[in-house]
This record gives sequence, structure tokens and C-alpha cells, in this order.
Amino acid sequence: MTMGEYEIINEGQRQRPNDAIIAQIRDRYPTEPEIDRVLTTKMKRRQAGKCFEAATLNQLVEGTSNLISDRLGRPVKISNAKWLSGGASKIQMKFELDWTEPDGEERTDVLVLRMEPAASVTESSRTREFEVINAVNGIIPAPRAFWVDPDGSFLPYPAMVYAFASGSAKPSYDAGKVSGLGQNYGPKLRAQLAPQFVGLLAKLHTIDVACIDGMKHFDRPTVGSNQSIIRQVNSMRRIWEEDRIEEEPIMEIIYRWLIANAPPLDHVSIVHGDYRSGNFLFDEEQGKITAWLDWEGASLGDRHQDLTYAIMPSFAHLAEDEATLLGSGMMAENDLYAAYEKASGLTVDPVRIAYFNIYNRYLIAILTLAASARASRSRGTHQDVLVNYVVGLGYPALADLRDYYLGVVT
Amino acid sequence: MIRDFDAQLQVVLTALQDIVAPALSGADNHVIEQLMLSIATIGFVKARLPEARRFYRMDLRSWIDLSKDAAQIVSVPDDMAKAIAAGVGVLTDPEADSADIEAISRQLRDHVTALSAAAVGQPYQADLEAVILEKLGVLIAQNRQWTASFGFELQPENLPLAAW
Repeated sequence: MTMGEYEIINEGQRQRPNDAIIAQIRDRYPTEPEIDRVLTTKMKRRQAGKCFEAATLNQLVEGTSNLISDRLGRPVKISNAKWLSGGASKIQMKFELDWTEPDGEERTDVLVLRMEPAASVTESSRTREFEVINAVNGIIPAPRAFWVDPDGSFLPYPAMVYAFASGSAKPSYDAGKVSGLGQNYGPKLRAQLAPQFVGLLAKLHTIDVACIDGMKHFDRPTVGSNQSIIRQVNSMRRIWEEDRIEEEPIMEIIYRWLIANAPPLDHVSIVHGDYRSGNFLFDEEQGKITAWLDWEGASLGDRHQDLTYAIMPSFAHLAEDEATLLGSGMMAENDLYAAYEKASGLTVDPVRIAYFNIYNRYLIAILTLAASARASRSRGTHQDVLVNYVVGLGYPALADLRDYYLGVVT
Repeated sequence: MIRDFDAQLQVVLTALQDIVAPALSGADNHVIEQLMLSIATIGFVKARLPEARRFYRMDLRSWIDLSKDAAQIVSVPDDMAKAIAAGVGVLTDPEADSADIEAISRQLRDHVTALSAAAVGQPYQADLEAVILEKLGVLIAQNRQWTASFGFELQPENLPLAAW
């Protein structure tokens, strides 16, 4: 069969890739070294035929205790461990830790272990997540990150430990949504949360990246260049190549467009990468955002990526007037952009907005039709039924991608 | 009869909804969530299983139509022409099973994408891409209708009627 230049891997090889196939994909779609490492690890796991192996709570307690003891150089005591629900991609355990800080302070903290399963909706680096949370510490409310096990040396899979953050991801009166998709906060809570939602995004994007010492596992993009965006597009295309269940010709057309039209950066921001409803906690009584979560998709890049992601239809719902689409259940698109410009002092560029609207739709289509479908089929997660359910978002997402793309190019 | 898939799925759904779910009140949220998603997934299968063969046939018809339209724009490789012919044959074969139908749809998906990749820089690139985007718009809408019960459609009432 003459498949053209585009295809590297067939379905059998996707299920059990060999070294040559993995190497070819890496060569074809070059991306940041840490992202490359994560995606290569995923393929190596698949090569070994490893499904997700459930760990008991006791195993996680023991592994976590060993990790922390190793990092501190002294024994610690873990108590009151229990599973923590929430999210579609990571395994989480809440526990209490009695320990002594290096300066001798004795303390008890409520912490969370966040561990990858064997496969995931979003394959990501615990090291990068650890680094970015520390980078925004004191600027954006986010749980303090304490320790990381980047290679799963102490735990069954790579993991990190961070502080437990209080608050709810869903309002008490509308708790039935999957992972914050289409979350409706209602008029009162929305009015309280929306300004914080925009204000914190503006704060995040205006952090002076040049002054951050950490984030060693992030490539540092250059203003005026589009190479960092091309690397990000390549990482998405690589996931499509590695994970898709079946081909969608539209995806190839749009990949080519994204590469050909990648805009140069005009400002380097910390980009959250998953800035939307469901990924922050709030105090319902006070109407206050208490913590931003899920930093695993963070990068250094273009602010328009977060702006357009926040208003994606997948995370939106119609307002009470049945006409206004509220991005992340917060604001209409133009209202959000206007509030953001005012809060950040940065411009919102319509050309980049158009580009990243396509970029994010391309991402969502890949995460649903490829990554989620592959992870659940390969029995790679602790909640395959949820990950599989998310695949149901795939065709609405693909339709949205197609329609938006046509609106831009025609 | 034990051959009746619908009855088998119905009894499982009843057990999960009426007996298991109430017994889990007070369980961890993720346990309840997984049960609810299991019920919804089985409900989807129950609703769509009787229609699956018709859906696969509609899907294949759409890929054949798109492939033929592409062949009007650019000369298609021999193996793609053979896949189109095989698809037409499967649709006229009353004994063809769903796996045969799906396999050819899959081949045509790959062929159309390969054709599109090979078109880059060619004078017919724009025409080919336009046909792909137009034709697949219709098929994607049918796939949305197929999966509408998952609850991700903002306005499911606006989706086109099922064409399978």
C-alpha cells in the first residue's frame, strides 16, 4: 500500500512499537527534550506490553514514605491516607505527614501524592509540573510542591507530593459533570469567580520569566521566533501518530496549516496549558478561588494559548439567556479578552487568537480521539471507564475544529 | 432467550442502577463516578448495538463517496482504487460482517489521508482539501449523533437526524 510520506506507524505497531518505530517518530516530530522523554517512556511501556497495575493504598504509603525519607535524610510518619478523587488523568492519595523541616521545625501537613497511571489522557512530566508550581509560588494560589519522584524510583509510577488545597472543584448544586466539562457555576458564583479567573491568568502571564531560576526542564523560547510553537505542534502531532485509533484526514490538513502559520512569539509567558473550569478549587461560601491545579501541561510560550483554551466550547455552556456562550462557565469570549487586556496590560491579538483557537481545538481532538481512546483500550489507567467516556467528546471536538478552521481559511 | 443481547444488557443496567448504586451511597466519589459512567456506557451500547451494522455501512458509504470525489480531482493509486471497489462489493454482500465493513472504511481513511499528504504543493491541493473538509463535515455530524448520549453536545437537538 502506498501510504504517502505522512505515515510512520500502523495499528499493530502502535499497540507494540519497536525501537526503530519509536526512533522514527521522534525524528519526524522533534519537540522539547523533556516532552520527548515523556512520550518515549510512554511508547517504551507500550512496547513492554505493560497495562496499569493497581497499587494498594499501603503500597503508596510505603513508597511515599520512602521518597520523603530519602529526600529529607530522616524517617517520617504518614497517617490517615485515603484515595482522593478528581481529574481524569492522575492517581491521587491524601495523607498526613509528621516531619521535620531541614531547619528543625517540626510540623504536620496534609499532603497529596499525585501519581501517573501507566497511560494517560495527557502524558506529562512530573518534573515540569513540580518546577512550574514552584515558579508561581506566592503569585498564583497553587498548592506548594514538596517532593518529586520523576522516574518512579520509589513509587510504581512517576509521582510528586504537594500540599492539600482546600476548596471545591464543582459547586454543590451542580456536581454531576465530568472533570469540569461544561461546568455551570450559576449567576451568583460566576459573578464572584470570573474576575479572579481573568485576574489570575493576567498575573500568570506577566510573571517575568527571565527572572525565574527554576524551570530547568522547559525550553526557553525566543521572542520573534516561532520555533517553540512549532515544537509544541509537533508534540501534538506525535501523540496523534502514536495513539490514534483510526485516521482522520482533517487532522493532517490542519497539522500542515499549524506548522505553516505558526506566529512568532511577541512575549514569553508561563502558559498553564489547561486553564479552564474544573481545574481550580474555590470556597463556595466566600466565592473565592483557593488554588489552581493541574499544571502538568504548562509551558513557556504564547499567552493566547491559555486565552483561547479558556473559552473552548468543550468547556463552555450557554448562559441563562440561552444565547451567550460562557467560556469555562465564566464570561463571553470578548468580555474575557477585554478584562484580560485591562488586567495584564498585554494586548490580545486577533491573528494569534485565531491561530490558537485552531491549535487548542487540534489538541482537544488529539487528546480525545487518540490519547484517551488509546489509554483506555490499552487498560492503561486506574479509571478506564472515565477516560473512555471522554472519547465521546472527540467528534464534537473534531466538528468544532473543522468549523473553526474553515471560518479562518475561507 | 440468552441470545438476546438487549435483555442481557438490561438486566445488568437494572442491577447496577437499582441495587448497586443505592448500596454505594457514602462511598468515595470516584467509586460512585465510575459506577455512573459504567451505567451510562452500558446504556450507550444497549441503545446503539442494534444499529451498529447500519451505522458501519453508512460510514463506509461516506468514505467510498469521498474517495470517488477525490478520484475526480486526482488519479488515485491502484491500491486505493481496489479498496473503493472492495468497499462497493462489501456493501452489496448481504453476508459481509461488520468487521469487513469497518476494515475497508479504515483503509479508505488511510488512503484519503495519504492522498492529501501527497497533494502538498500540487495544483490540486486546495480542491482536494476542500472536498475532504466538506464531505467529512457531514460524516462527523453523524458521528456526533451516534455519540450524543455521552452528553457532550451543547445543543443536541440541532444535530442532523441519524442517516444510518
